[in-house]
Amino acid sequence: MAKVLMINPMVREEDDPKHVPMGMAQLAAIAIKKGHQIQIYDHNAWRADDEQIKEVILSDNWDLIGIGGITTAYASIKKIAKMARKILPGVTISLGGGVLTSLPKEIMKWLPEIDFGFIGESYVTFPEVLEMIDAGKSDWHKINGTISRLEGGELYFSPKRELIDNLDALPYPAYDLFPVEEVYFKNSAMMYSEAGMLATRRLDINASIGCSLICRFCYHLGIAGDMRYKKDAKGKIVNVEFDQPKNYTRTIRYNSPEYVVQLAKYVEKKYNANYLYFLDENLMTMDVFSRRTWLKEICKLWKENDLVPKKRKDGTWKGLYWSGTSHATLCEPEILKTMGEHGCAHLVYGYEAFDDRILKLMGKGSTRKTNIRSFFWTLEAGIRPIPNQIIGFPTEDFDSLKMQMKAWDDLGVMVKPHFATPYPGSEWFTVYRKKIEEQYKGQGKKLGLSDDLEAFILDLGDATRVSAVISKNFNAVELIGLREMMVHRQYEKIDQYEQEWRKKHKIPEGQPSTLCGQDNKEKNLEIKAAAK
Amino acid sequence: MSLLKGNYKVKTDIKKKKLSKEDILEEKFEKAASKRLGGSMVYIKKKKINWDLKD
Ligand code: B12
Repeated sequence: MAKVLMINPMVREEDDPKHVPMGMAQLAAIAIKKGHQIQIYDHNAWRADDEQIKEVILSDNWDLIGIGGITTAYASIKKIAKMARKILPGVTISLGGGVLTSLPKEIMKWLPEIDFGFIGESYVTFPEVLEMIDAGKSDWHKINGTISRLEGGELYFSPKRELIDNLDALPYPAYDLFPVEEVYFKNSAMMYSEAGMLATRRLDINASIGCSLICRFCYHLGIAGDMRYKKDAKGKIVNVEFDQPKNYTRTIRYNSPEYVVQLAKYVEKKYNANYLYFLDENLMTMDVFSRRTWLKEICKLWKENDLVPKKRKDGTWKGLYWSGTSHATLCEPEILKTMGEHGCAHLVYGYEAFDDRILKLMGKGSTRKTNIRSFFWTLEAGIRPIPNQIIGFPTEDFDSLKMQMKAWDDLGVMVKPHFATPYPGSEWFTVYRKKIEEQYKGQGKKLGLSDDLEAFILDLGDATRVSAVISKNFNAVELIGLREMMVHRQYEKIDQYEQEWRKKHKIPEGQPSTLCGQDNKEKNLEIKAAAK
Repeated sequence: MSLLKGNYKVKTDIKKKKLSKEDILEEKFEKAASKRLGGSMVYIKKKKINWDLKD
């Protein structure tokens, strides 16, 4: 039986750890079911010092060290992989998750410590690797869904790993292998609603994979049908590809309502949980795909299983409040009302902007009208809508920024918007890659890294910080300044700056405040497209 | 509090290093103070005194 050390790297260092890494928890459960010996060091939860990480790495004779996480965990992953290789020169080290999947060739180049990588969904790939270890072999290239190093050092993509059909076949996540009591429950509170604020024993679940929309800034970890394999003329796989202009693919999968509610019941009983957060990318996609039966059925079973929260006199409750992510155009008042009645406390909406021109180009399938409509529907249903906002879109201009501020005023939203950020795996990244590299020119060398792109990846964190700018009208300094004034609703100061900006760019008053295309051709086309 | 959790017992159990009372207080203070940064609200890290500003 294979002996594995799984390491969850640190992410969002400035905040307390709040989420058990779901993919890793599921993979650990699958491996345990197959009889393997698994230990998890959750570095994001413990944040122990280097001395202690060393002790962890040295605490057993591992057949495999498996690290995995999202792109912004790259710095932590790099550090841990280097430490592990130094301390245990002969151990096999692998990397999986969104970070590797979006840039497999680059990451394998940047991290020579990694022997092979798991590309995309690993529910089948991971146990196959452990089986190979049991057979005493290390032919990782023979396992689908991997990237490995051939003898001469050449990188090799094995054939694509197909996605599993039936998510109900997955065992429940191995929450026990994470410091749920010691760390996560202490950080249960979610400051999005009263119930969220009062949550003391929150856990997360994931009830679906995928999203039907094609937002230009989004990445779906290569697990949502969003990843394609690129082959050369001879049929050799040369890379992976994600959303590209006019080329989008998606696979929508969801657990049955029975599975979801049984898992919720298990979490409530076993961990005495009082709040459940759905990590799903977009609950409403699943509701539409199931012809509006999925969420309704989940709510019905929530009630039948006595999970609908009942308040006690002391302010605590029996049952589970819950929350997740919705979508402006895909939601309907009826289902929102049902959700509200069954304990849904907040729903995140990626409204992102309130200018139809910007929304149209973003590919979100929403408009200013559907944004506002869904906001009030949700409030009416007794659920708090949590709108995400972004500024710095490629064609963002003064008009769109002011429209956004106006909407915040109209809706009573207090928000500090994200900056439009081209995370790897998104269409923006593919389209603007050269522009990104230019902005980090020389940084790679300066920081002793492999190249400039690695410097960009290391700079990525929360999009509340500016990194690579893709706006055609505003630079990083302008975006930061404008955001500050927007947050404080300094309309006049923004008007003043617009005058300066127009002077600098020789764009007279009355013309759209944009540098896109000569004679604003591009913007006019956008306006026409949005009007349609 | 063991740093490793698994489905079997490892040879050496590694416990999370315990911070002293002062360290815990300092950590708590840093977190609370950092949340309020701005204007006259400043947080100062307690580092070694370094008159000539050399590491
Ligand atoms: C929970 C979560 C977080 C958590 C962190 C979770 C963690 N511990 O890593 C928090 C809240 C911190 C977070 C933050 C952010 N997130 Co986030 N987050 C998610 C969320 C909601 C769920 C992740 C999840 O569990 N997915 C489901 C599981 C099954 O997938 P998985 O973990 O990837 O696991 C599978 C494979 O990847 C692989 N795998 C994963 N790990 C490992 C490990 C090993 C050893 C192996 C073999 C395989 C493997 O196998 C698994 C099974 O197939 C997703 C959306 C979603 N529903 O996926 C977004 C998502 C991952 N986040 C995203 C983004 C953009 C962000 C932010 C940048 C947002 C922002 N603008 O600020 C920030 C980053 C902040 C920072 N400073 O770093 C993006 C993609 C990010 C990326 N490029 O990698 C996603 C996909 C959302 C989206 N569609 O835009 N996030």
